[in-house]
Amino acid sequence: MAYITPPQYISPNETLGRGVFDSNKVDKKGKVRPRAFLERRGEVNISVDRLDFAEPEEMAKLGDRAAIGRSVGRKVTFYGWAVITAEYAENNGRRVVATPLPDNLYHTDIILPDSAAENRDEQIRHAQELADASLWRERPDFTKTDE
Amino acid sequence: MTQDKTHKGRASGLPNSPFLVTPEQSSKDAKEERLSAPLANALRDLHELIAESHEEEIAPPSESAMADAKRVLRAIYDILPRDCVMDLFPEGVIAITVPGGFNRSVMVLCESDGGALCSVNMNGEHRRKRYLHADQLLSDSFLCEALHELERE
Repeated sequence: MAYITPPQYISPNETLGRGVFDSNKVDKKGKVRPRAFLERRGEVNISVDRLDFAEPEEMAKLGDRAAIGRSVGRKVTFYGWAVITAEYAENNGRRVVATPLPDNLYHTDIILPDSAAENRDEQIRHAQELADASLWRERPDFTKTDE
Repeated sequence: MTQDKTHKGRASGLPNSPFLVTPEQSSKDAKEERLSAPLANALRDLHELIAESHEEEIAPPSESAMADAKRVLRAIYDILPRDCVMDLFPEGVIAITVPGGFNRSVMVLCESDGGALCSVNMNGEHRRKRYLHADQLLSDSFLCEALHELERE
């Protein structure tokens, strides 16, 4: 599989990856910290990528490109993904909507309920739930080759 | 279910506290008590949050938030001695998460102004309780009951 253009419809068992650009968002034992899914106050869209439609190396390249875009004033590194299925991402009033971008066909938003826009505790509650239902997946190491 | 309550009264004396951890006792424990390895690790992770705040250019936790977090950690480990995940949210908020396996956790936030929040996720069923002061959280049974529920399943 090189890559497949993803359909607009998102299946419940699809794998979504929240890019982790800060090693502190995952603890030493690989547990995703809630902060990985906590956006700034009032923001209800949480960016993720659909990981089932391209090779991990291709997705990692997208992550590396995003890291360069975030490197303003300090170097930002792409470490991997907090991985969650669409089924769990959609629990408790959240929605998952495909939002492809010109440079990232796999881009998707987890959209929190409106109540989270006005209530920080609600935002935090959703971050906790998303972290609890996600698993850490480290980016592939391009330096390792099969011989 | 979402339970969202704010306690307006000040806790004093804490006669019915399920934890009975006071700042004086916490300080005394640090000097005299041999800490369990998981609690010692959690306290070390807590102190590392200060360095993280500098690295990530976010507000460091206040001294009172650090002191509250230490007392909350001791209370948690008295009931459920399992590895906690320490986190730092923007605005210097310390988040202590007690994991309970997939899709389950109890999280306590210690805020820089002394406030606290206990947020419980049990397989997607949510409830939470907010306190004006962390003392009130420690004197209430909400956290204690949530930890026991986490332990049961």
